[in-house]
Amino acid sequence: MQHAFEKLAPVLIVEVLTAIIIIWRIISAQRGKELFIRRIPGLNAIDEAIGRATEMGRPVLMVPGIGGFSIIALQALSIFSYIARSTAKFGNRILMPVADPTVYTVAEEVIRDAYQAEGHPERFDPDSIRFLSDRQFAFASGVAGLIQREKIASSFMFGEFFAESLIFAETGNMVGAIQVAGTVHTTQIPFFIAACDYTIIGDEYYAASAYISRNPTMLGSLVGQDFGKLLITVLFVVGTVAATVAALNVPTLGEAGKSFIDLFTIR
Amino acid sequence: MDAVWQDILSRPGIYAGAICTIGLMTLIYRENAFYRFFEHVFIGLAAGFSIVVLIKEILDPFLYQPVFKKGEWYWTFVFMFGLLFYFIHSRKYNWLSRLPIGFLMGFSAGQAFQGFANTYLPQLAKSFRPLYVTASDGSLDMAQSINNLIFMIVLVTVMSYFFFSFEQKSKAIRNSAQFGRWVMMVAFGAIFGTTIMARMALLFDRMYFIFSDWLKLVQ
Repeated sequence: MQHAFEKLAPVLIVEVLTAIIIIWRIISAQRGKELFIRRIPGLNAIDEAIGRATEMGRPVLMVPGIGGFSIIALQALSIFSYIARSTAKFGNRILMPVADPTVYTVAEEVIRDAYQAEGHPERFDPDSIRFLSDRQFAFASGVAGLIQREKIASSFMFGEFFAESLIFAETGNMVGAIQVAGTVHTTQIPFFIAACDYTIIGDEYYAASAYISRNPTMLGSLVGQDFGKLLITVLFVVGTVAATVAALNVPTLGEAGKSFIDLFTIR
Repeated sequence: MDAVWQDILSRPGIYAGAICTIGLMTLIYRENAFYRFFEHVFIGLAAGFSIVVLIKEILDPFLYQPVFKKGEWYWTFVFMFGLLFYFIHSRKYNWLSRLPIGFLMGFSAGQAFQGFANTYLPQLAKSFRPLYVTASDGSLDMAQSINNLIFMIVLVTVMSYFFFSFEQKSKAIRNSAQFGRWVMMVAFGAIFGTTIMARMALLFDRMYFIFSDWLKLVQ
């Protein structure tokens, strides 16, 4: 047990240090410190897509994925809240098919709040948020039918997507909708890139929701994670140098290199 | 005509599957009443299926069996705690619904933290690859050394793309991030290709079902 802890210690230190930095940045943001996050290019596409739906007088579709109630779903809802505020302002019709009952109830609250915040609670239509099915392909067929019937002008897909991602994106493409999508699932990003107008890739998803919501916790967390990434990048570069000097059997340095690699190896 | 009816009656499942498949595939042409009918049938069946799954996989093993069969009454607390979620529809007691939501979020965050520790941190040491690799005879293994160099460049450039807390004004960082993006596009292209191959296999399976199992045109 003692040995196992010793082997884990350096990796644990990296993790705990990253966690401390994240918490520190979150507290700083909550105390009012202005934290900078660069604008993600995909966010401009969101405004463009809403503008297009307004011009065409056709609905805006928002799909929060098929995942359950998780941090990813909450981040998706914070992006949809921003979109709903714009649609409330311009009077666009929205459609939000949901695949998870828990997400459904929270989504209804979030979108209603967005309409209230814009001063147009009467424009909120509870029927615009629909629970279709919690079965993957039944939900996919429902969304595909909805896209075709309503001839949506803009489609936003944020959250957890799996094999149904291409069905949504391709059907949206068929009706000529502007589509902006974002997911953390690397295997689904290629389909969004192929069929959508703009795709938010991997970690950009978290940055987008933090940028839009300006929520101090999200902002602090994102900036803290940047420190973590920097720490890992530095460790990676040092580790590569250590592995190289170890491979070259450089006197003294080679042994130090081996020790460094051994320090981070979990057996 | 009798032979057709006899065939339908002898294998109704195959006929139903074939008609549903064709019905849903008509969306490729355009949205139509035929598609709409099967879409609603599909969603209806899925709703019924979900209720059965809920009863058989959750309510029965985690509530009915432990409480009523084994006398493990404390499981009712979990059930009651879950029921608090329905207070989301109450204006006065809405706050109660936040308890299970908070629990779910905490659970989700803890799981993500554990997942990160178990999955990603061990990858750190595995990424320490020498840029000079020796073959078994002691000579330079050029292919592996170049491979490791590419690995290092790709990792650093892709990482540089995902820094958000500063503006990418410096030319070096901008170019690095741009290169990282291009490299990711190459990887996504490869994922796209392999997944499309798998999807084609699924399509062929459906086509085989239509032409072989149903129409018996292919043996």
